[in-house]
Amino acid sequence: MTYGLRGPCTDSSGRIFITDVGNDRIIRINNCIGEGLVTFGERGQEKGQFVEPTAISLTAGGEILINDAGNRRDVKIDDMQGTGWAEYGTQGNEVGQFQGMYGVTQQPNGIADQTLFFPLGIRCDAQGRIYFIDQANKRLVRMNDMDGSGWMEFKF
Amino acid sequence: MLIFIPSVRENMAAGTPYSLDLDAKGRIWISFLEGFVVRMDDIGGAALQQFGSPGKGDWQFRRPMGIVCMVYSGFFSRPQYDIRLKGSMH
Repeated sequence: MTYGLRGPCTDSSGRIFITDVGNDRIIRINNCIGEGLVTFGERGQEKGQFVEPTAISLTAGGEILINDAGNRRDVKIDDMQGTGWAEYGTQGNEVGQFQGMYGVTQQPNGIADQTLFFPLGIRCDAQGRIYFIDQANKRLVRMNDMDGSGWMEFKF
Repeated sequence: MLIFIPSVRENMAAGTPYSLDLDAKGRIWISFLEGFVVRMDDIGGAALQQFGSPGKGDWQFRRPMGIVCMVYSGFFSRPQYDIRLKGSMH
């Protein structure tokens, strides 16, 4: 059973990639009836593990980008076996740090809303640069690669 | 109601960013939980435009969440309780 699906995105073959937030994993299926189901990940902080992954995207080369929000990091893997695992980020509000999803927001009626929200933002542009939303720090960040090079941010 | 805020490399969109997408021109589109959407040309905030306001009427969002660029100038956003297709930011 899945819990809290986020995404989706599709590859050049039309396969669908989704994050299964509550089960701390990502999912790939061949079509909308769930054929060819492949999952990757389990709860934790190590390689091959996620804590509430909230966003997923693909690079032009088919690599998988994941916003591993609970671990305050972004992850890139080559395939659904986790090959080529690369990660970047720690908790905080400086360069190279994320606050993930635990932001307090304001409802339209002005009441503070501490419900957990799940940022859905991670994308790769035509130059291969990675964009993502660091929600609690209220900023958009771009970096050239998973080593954090070329870090640039825009604060909201 | 259509709101354009001419702004270049200034932060005029105070809020909580939620989702982002890039369009074919490489522009960045971001939805905010406070009920609006922002488009800017680059990470520096060039040509930043804010669109929408909180509410249930036309051009209003209760809580825009996912955002996906359908064509170079359009966007699709999902408020909390329903699905709406809104026009472009031209």
